[in-house]
Amino acid sequence: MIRYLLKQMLGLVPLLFLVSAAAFFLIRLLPVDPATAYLNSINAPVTEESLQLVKEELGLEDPVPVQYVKWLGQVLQGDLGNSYQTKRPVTEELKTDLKYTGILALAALVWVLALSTVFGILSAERANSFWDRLIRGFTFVGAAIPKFWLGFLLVYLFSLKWGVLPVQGATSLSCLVLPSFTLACSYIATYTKLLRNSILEMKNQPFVTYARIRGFTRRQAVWRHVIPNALLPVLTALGLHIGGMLSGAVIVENVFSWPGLGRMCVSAVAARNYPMIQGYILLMAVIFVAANLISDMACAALNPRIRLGGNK
Amino acid sequence: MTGENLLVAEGLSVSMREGETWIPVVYPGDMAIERGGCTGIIGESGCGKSMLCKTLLGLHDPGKWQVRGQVFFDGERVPIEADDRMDAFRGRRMSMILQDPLSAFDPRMTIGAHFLEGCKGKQKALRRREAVEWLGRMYMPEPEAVMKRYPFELSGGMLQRAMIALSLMGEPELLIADEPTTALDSTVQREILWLLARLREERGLSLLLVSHDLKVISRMADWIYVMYAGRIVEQGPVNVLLENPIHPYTKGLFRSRPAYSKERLTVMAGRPPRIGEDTGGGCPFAPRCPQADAACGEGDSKLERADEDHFVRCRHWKGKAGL
Repeated sequence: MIRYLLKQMLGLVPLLFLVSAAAFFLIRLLPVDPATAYLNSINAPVTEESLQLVKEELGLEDPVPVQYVKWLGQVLQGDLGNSYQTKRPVTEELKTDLKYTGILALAALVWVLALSTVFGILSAERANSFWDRLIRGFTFVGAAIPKFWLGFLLVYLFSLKWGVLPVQGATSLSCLVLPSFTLACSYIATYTKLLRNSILEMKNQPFVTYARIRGFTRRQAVWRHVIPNALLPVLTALGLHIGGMLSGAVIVENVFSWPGLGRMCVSAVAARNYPMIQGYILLMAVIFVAANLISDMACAALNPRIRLGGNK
Repeated sequence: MTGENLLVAEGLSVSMREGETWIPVVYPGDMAIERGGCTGIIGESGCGKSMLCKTLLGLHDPGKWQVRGQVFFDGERVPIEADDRMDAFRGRRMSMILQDPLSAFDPRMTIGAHFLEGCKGKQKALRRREAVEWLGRMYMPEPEAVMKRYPFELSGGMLQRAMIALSLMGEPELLIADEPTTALDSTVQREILWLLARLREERGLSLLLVSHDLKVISRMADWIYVMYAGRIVEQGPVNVLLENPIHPYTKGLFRSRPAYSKERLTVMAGRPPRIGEDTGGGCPFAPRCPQADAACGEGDSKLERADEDHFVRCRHWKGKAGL
């Protein structure tokens, strides 16, 4: 297990190099250079002279490969550079933003786990009933609805029309409800469907019939054998989607003015804030890999076949 | 039948729902299982054998299956139609072992966890001791270690022993064995059959053995039911049936068993009708029957008494005795 972990970590190193290079060179292909964007943002006149000044200040004088090597040297020392916009270190900025996005993603995860297990189990246990049809209708709509539209719809209903929840911001727990649900919605739909199918498939397994044969009631067979086994594929998929949830927050954060990574990223792109964009991409790469690793380990912990597979 | 009957089924039939209609899978038939005896059901795949076993344990989803007829166990009516009331019978009065032992165990649980399932607190230690004892009775090597193993870590033969032990923990009087040796290789097959025979002798366990393998059935059973297309086509004591099979299907079945001779193995031509396939109202075996004539196409034949306890479902049985 530990060896497996170390192997995965080692594999991360070349991946991060690749990601960093791709991020660094690709964003420099964007039209409008950062110096112009910077001058525009402070309403300063764009002249040859002022451009030169800003470029020197931001270290954009050197050829791009030289810039990359310099930046990489800094990164290896744990310094991601300073944000062009705020002049604060990128690591600091990312830390605060990540905290907010983390809270949002965590809250979305709670929605997903709570609702998709309840919906999935209810839907499979009462297959083809009224509830099942209702839930299946929801999974269809929930997976198809665009996040920005759902966000505005929820704001319109809960905040403007009924006034029960705040429109935007991140000042209290009630601010979290709408953005996290918006983020969670499509995942709830996906996992409900996944769990429903998984349960129905498990029900036909011989070990479930055999549990009944030994005299266990239907309910006991379902809770002890069907549901635990049906949850395995759901948890695997969830691990793969945690990274996607964090990065998918971009739209939701912009709709609800949530001060997280996604909103930061969008404004950084607009300002051609290279160090911030590079930092964001690197962070996302690490999160994606880490989430996959965690999901692998969770599966190994839950599935003896994977856990013990190495010993045989 | 000589001894006392442990289980009696009367007019038992099973139909499968398809849209608005019910398609017969097992046609109405009577059956008896002798106390302490071994009753065998033989027939090709899809003839309704497994369906019959499931029905005896009331394991059908009432929305999809329709079960008719009565089953009596030790003189008591078995509520095969009511799933919730069957929990008192299943595992306690009658139990079953399945064909593929690997898929019969929950892959997430150790063998021991299966034995301890449903046990709380202080019962556990007692149950664990019992389980080890039962595994030992099944001639399981190192039962203590086996308790800690996961299903996928054991061989098919070991799993089958564990399954027999697990099924017998509730001390049922009847054990239904649905193709218990089909998934095993032949040396292990022999061991499992020997074990079942021993349990019958030592503990007075009654067996209902279901197989498509005549070798297995003829070695173990003392009473045979031959099934074809959901119907019992012939029944009787094993020696009578082996010596004097009457139904052309039974004869064909016996002839297609491999023997150590240079003669070419005869194979029954054709295939049994599929479930729900229209057999034209006649004898379902007629299309494959070498002796079929025009009369066979007119109405299904009835189970008739050929000898004292030898019954056969063939209108021409009188002219067909002997191989």
